[in-house]
Amino acid sequence: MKLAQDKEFLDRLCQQDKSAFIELVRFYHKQMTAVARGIVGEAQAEEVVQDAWIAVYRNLPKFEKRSSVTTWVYTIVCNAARTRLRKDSRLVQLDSNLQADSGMPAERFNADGAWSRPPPQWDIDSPEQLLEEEQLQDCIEKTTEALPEQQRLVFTLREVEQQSAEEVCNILGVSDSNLRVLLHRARMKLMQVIDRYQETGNC
Amino acid sequence: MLSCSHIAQHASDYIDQDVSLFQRLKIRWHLRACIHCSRLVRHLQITLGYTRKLDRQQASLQEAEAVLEKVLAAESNRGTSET
Repeated sequence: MKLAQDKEFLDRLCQQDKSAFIELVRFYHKQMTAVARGIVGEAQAEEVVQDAWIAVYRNLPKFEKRSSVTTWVYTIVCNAARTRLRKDSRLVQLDSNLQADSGMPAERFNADGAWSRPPPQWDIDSPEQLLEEEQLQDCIEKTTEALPEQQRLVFTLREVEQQSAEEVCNILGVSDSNLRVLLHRARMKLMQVIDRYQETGNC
Repeated sequence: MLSCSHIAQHASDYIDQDVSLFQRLKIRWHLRACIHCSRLVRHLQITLGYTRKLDRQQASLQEAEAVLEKVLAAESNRGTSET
């Protein structure tokens, strides 16, 4: 968020200026809801995000600008979500050890690890060309929303918010190796959506 | 030589430059020889470039105002209960 690096904006925010707060909410609310949904599930996500906004607003005068606003608001929403899980006695450890894999169906490879069904050729060769495909954008949005919760969490923070791996590990409390496994699986799923779109013209 | 499934497994790490120099060289060696794996890595790079360029979804002004309204209500309740 460019505004979040703007000193004048940050000063207004720390003084609980309402219009600055509204700008902050507009920018982060959807992604925060996606993150909360990834931890507490659909039914409680909105309530958790609302609790997080209350905590953000309340603590704005104390925000010391040592961390970025992005890291700060996501840390608050993740803490709010974990508090909710704890209250409901359903706090599960996000950080179980994940086994690295190709992120593709096993039948794509032979027993010796060579391709049995290699990646199809694309007739598009740049991100800019893909941006011209409106239907593909819908496919990607639907697939992102349907990603398994932990993958969606990691994908939102790393790819949408472009937070560093270290920050995401801190915010979510996951190990670096698990972060990489989850992110790779999410990326490969989205790449395979484009594969399918290139082959069939559909999602 | 590394297998294709190994390349697929480490494609993100390779793109993110999160592999050791030795591993990087081994992957590069494989990519030179394998058209399918070099296509996979190129497609994954394009996918990442694409998803990073997609418009970020923002809440509407109405949604943001509704959040603020609830925040202010909670703050005012807190003030009342503290007095």
